Formats: sequence, C-alpha cells, structure tokens
Amino acid sequence: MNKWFPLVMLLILLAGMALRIPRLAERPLHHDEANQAYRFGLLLEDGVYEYDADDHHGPTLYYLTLPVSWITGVKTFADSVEGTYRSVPVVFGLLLILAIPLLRCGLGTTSVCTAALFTAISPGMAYYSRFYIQESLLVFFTFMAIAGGWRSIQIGSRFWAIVAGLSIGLMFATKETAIIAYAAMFGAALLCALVAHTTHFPLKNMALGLIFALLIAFLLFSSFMTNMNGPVDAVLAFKGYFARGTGMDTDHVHPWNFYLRMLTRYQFDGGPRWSEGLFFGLGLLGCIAILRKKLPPEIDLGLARFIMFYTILLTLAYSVISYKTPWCILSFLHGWILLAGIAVASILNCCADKITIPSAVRSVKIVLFLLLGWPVYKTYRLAENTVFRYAADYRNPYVYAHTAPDFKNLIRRIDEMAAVSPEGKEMYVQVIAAPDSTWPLPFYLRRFPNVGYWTDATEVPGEIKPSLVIAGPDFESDPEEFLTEFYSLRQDTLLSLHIDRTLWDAFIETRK
Amino acid sequence: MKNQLKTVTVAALAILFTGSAIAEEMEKLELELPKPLFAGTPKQIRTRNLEKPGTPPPEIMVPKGTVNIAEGKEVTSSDDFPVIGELEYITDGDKDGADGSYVELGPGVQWVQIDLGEVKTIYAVALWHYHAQARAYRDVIIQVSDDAEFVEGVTTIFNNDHDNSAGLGVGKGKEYIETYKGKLVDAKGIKGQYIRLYSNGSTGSDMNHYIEVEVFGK
Repeated sequence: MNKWFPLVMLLILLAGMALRIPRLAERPLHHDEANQAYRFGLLLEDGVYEYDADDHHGPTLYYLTLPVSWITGVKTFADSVEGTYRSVPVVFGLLLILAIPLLRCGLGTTSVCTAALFTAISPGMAYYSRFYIQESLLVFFTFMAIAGGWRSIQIGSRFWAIVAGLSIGLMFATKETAIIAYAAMFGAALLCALVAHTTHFPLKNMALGLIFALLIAFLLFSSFMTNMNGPVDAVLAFKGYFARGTGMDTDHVHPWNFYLRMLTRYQFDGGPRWSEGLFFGLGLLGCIAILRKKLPPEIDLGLARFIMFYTILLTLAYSVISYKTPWCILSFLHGWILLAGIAVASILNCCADKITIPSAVRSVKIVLFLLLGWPVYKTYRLAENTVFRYAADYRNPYVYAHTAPDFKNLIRRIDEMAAVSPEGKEMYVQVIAAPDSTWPLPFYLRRFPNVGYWTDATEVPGEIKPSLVIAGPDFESDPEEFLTEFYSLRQDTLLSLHIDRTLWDAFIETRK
Repeated sequence: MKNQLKTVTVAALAILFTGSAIAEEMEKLELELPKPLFAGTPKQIRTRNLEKPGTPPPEIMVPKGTVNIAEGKEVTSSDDFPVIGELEYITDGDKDGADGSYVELGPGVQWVQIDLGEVKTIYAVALWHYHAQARAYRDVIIQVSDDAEFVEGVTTIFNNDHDNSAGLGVGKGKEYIETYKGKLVDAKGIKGQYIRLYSNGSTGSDMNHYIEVEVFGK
C-alpha cells in the first residue's frame, strides 16, 4: 500500500476536484455569499475591514480572498465573478483532503486513505466546499489544530506546536463557533486522560501554541493593527451569539434531531433521499472498535479515542444548541468521517487476524474493498446530484433559504434592458425591499453604478423616473408607465420587476 | 471697426454666459443613492402559502344553467409522459394543492388540451396551476378552436406572454401569483370544441403544473 499511497491520494484528490471545481458559477449566489462578497469588495476597493460583532463572522474569509483576487487580476468589486469567491472554499476543501495524511503516523495508511476518500465524496463536504461561507475554512483549521497538536505531542515538535497554535487562532478568527470545537477538544482530552489514567502536558509547547494562537487572532481581528476595537468586539460578540444559541433573536431554531436526520436519512416534499449514512454508520462501527480496543497496530488508541470523544461531544453540542443551520454539520461530519476511516482499517485488520492463510487475507481485503465500492459509488453520485442538479433545490438538505434558480432570469432580463437602454448599465435602478429580500442583488448589480436601495417606498425620491424598479410582489407601479414581471428570489419569496414602458417597447422591437 | 469688434465680443461673451446659465439649469440631477443594508441569513421558509392576496377575480355574467362542461373530459398534452401525476387530474374536480392533485409536465413551453366532445358555447375558463407556494407561471395562453390540431380557427382568450417567448404572439394579459383562488378568464361566449392551455415554466422551476381546469359553458 505504501508505494501506491501517493497515487491513491492523487486519485482521491481528483475525485474531490471533480465535485468541487466544475460549474462554480451555475448556482446563484446565496444571500450570505453575496453579503460576504460585498464586504470583501469594500476590503478590496477601500482596503477597509472592520469586524462586525453582530454578524458575518471573523476576518479570515475576507483576507484569504485577497490572494485569489491578486492571482486572477480582480481589482474592483465589479471585476469579480462568482468563481473569485467560491474558489476560496474550493481551495480549503481540497487542502482538507490533502491534510488528512498528516495523521498517517497515528491512524495508519488505510484509515487516512479512506478518510480522505470519504472527505472528497461526502455530499455535505463537497457542497459547502463550493459555498462562499466560513465553514470549509473552519473545518480545515480545526483539523490542522488536531493534527498539529497530535504531531507536536508525539515528537515534542515546536514547529507543530506553532502550527496547532496558529490553527487554533485561525479557527477563532474564522467563526465564533470555534469555541464549541475548543470545548469539545478540551472535553475529549479530559475524557481521554480519565480513561487512560495518564496525563501528558507539554507545557512549553502548549504555551508556544497559545502565544501564536492569540497573536494571529489579534492581528486579524484588529485588521492588522488598524482597528484596535476589533479584538474587544470579538470577545463581546459572544453575548449575542450565546443568546442566539439558546434560540433568542433568531429565526434559525430547529429540533434536536435536525443534524441527525441529515446524517442518516433526509427526504422533503417528494425529493430524492439524502444521507451521510455511509460515514455515520461506519463511524459508529469505528467507535465500537475503539471502545473494544480492536484496532490495527498502526492506529494509536489515544488519538482514536480523542477523535471519538471529540466527535460525539461536538455532535451532541450542536444538537443541543437551538440555533441550527445546515452548514454547521461540517464540523462534526468530518469527525465521523475520520472515525469511518478507523472503522474500515479495523474491519480489514479483524479479518486479517482471523484468517491464518496469508494469500487468503489479500483476497478477503479485496472482497471487502469491493463491497465498500458500491456505497462509495452511490455516495459519489449523490454528491454529484447535491452539487450540480439539486444545487439550489429546496428539497436538498444543504440548501437553506437559498436563492432560486429563477433569480438568474431576473438578472438576465435586467441585462437585456441595459442592452437596449441609451444609458446602458448606467440606467437608474431602484430596489425597494427589506434587507433580507435584497440580497444577492447588490452582487449581481455590481456593474450598475446607479442603483439605489430603499426599504420603504415612501422614502424613495421622485425627481427622476427610474428605468427599473425591483420590489416585493405587493409593490404597485403605474401600469401605464411600467410593465411588471415576477421572479423568484427564494422559495416563497417573489420579487417584482417594473420596467419602464419606453424601455420595454425598445426591447420588444429587438424581438420582432 | 473697433466698435464693431467690441460689440461682437460683448455679444459673444453674453451668449457664453447665458449658455452657461442654461447649461447650469439643465445639469443632471444626481441622487444620493443609498447603499444596501446588510442582513443575516434569511429565514428558511418551507410552509404552504394558500392565501396570497391578489387582484379580485373578474365578475363574469353567464346565462342560467351554465355549468363546468370540462369535468371528466379527455385531456391530452404536449408531454405524453408527465413527470408527476396524470393528465386526468386536470378535469377530475380536485382543486387541492397537495401532492397527488397536480400533474407535472416537462420543462419549457408545454400545453394541455381538453376535448369538450362537441362544439360548445364557452363563457369562462378557470385554471389552477399550483398553489402550494407563491409562484407566477410564465406565458399563460388559453386558446379555443374547433380544430384539434389548433391550426385553423384559433381564438386566443388569454395571453400574458408579454415578450413573445412562447412564440404565439405578444399578449396583453398580466402575470399573476398563483393562489388557491385560481385564475378566472372571461371567454365572452366563444364557440369551440377544444381548449388548449399553454405555459412556460414558472418562477418556481422550468416545469409546468396543472391542478385543475374548469370550462364554464353550455
């Protein structure tokens, strides 16, 4: 296996790329993606980033988008396209696959290859690796914190202590929910110590890691020492986040089994069935193998136990917290994937132990891999459907308050109107909608300089007649002056487009 | 000569100043446009929407004894193999919005056609596409004819294809949001044996849906 390891990892990486890179611009930007893209645009054009304690999470996503803009030659917000943004999570989704072999010395070759494959083909992992939000970065930094910490403890390495420290700091600078992972890590370490009756505190390396964690977090939250309120706000933000966690001031309260359904079996409104069951089921078998200490010799029991306790605690924590959004599943889904890798290695080892004829061992291993091949293939196909065919379908469990595909028809119509307008993209456009019905318009109208956003129709100045008005479905325009069309923003949320009759007539002329 | 030069210069300056003043008057009014407000993740809505407010249906006067003459009549379609449901649902009298009450036809321009059995006088047509969520169906066109192929003697009684994307001509009808109340169209006593209803996807998806069509006539 060892000589094939690089080739196997390359094939796994290709599978991951096939699910992450193609057709990135096809799905319309989600409200949150557009919101974050707009904020990045402010950083790109004005060089300004200030941490927002109420929303939008930490600064890493924005700062890590800068290299992409430099490489792709994007100088303004108007230059950017969907791929500018989504390539950031794509990179971190692929880095996560490549990083798993860092645990090879503690989990063995079979476990890390299996875990890397499962990370590559997991529908949830693939879906959110194409989504411009913080989650794939958070999962990558979390894994690097665990891997760096493990390697540092194993060989007493300062380098890996620094890697772990930086990763812990970057976790916090990515998303405030990092503290749930910290708590799960602490709880898992405590349980491991209790079970093993031993403790090991490499204090110097721990202190070194902590210094680097604080340093990187401070630098990022302070916008590289230009906003000294940032680090303070990052701590004060927890007041709001704790309230949301208990279900206050939030619309995102869901039952305790919200994530469990996604892990096992999910179906809505006659849509296809979704599941991460291959990883969850094997992960449970991995837990049994760890508890019964039936692990192959290359798997370190201490590390396996830590991953088990960490995953279970994290799953429980996210299930107990009232505030739930589907992308939060990624943090503990990756834990179940690592446990599934341990399970596969343990099952193979168990078979090898019971068969005394060496030539039969290889045959049994091949049969077991083939048996695993079918669910792996089915999961890959499910992931394909998740990221392509059902990428914005409300029946997809990873699709949450998503922009409808029809929204792109609205944008196409606006472009058609600009094409016939004497003012082109400089035509005057009024958007009259509540903020939650506005996004992702500001991204898609980024090349239209004369767009105004109002939340109340009575506040819109009447001096100049707009070429277009985009509003909620209840907004009424003068039918003599405007032609009205309806478009879907999200499932059950419509927008109306009111087009100046003169412009419309010019457009119809082009159709004759 | 000097005086003339002075006069011309003064006149030129006067024109220049006046022109400038007019130009100032004509300066383009620049509005200070507000920026979009940020907002957190929107609420995930997965509820039924049966009572979306809309324009009240037209009041149509019909002769006494007018009934739904489409009930139980044969329905054909441009999509012979519907993705979901059966074509019979369209004239079975069930106007419920739940699963099992609607038929889903393929993407793009599709039609359903009802054979009334013989030439009838039609006063109104009512149709329900799908009302489990707020949607507007595109290119809703209703035609009546004596010709089952709709080649000759075709009369359009409703058309909201304002951009001629279905290719049957520009219509003056307005798009509307689907509700449980359906859409009532005045057929003005037109005579015909066949009714054909077109649609071209909706704000919800590219697919076409029909729950029920009622044809009121004698």
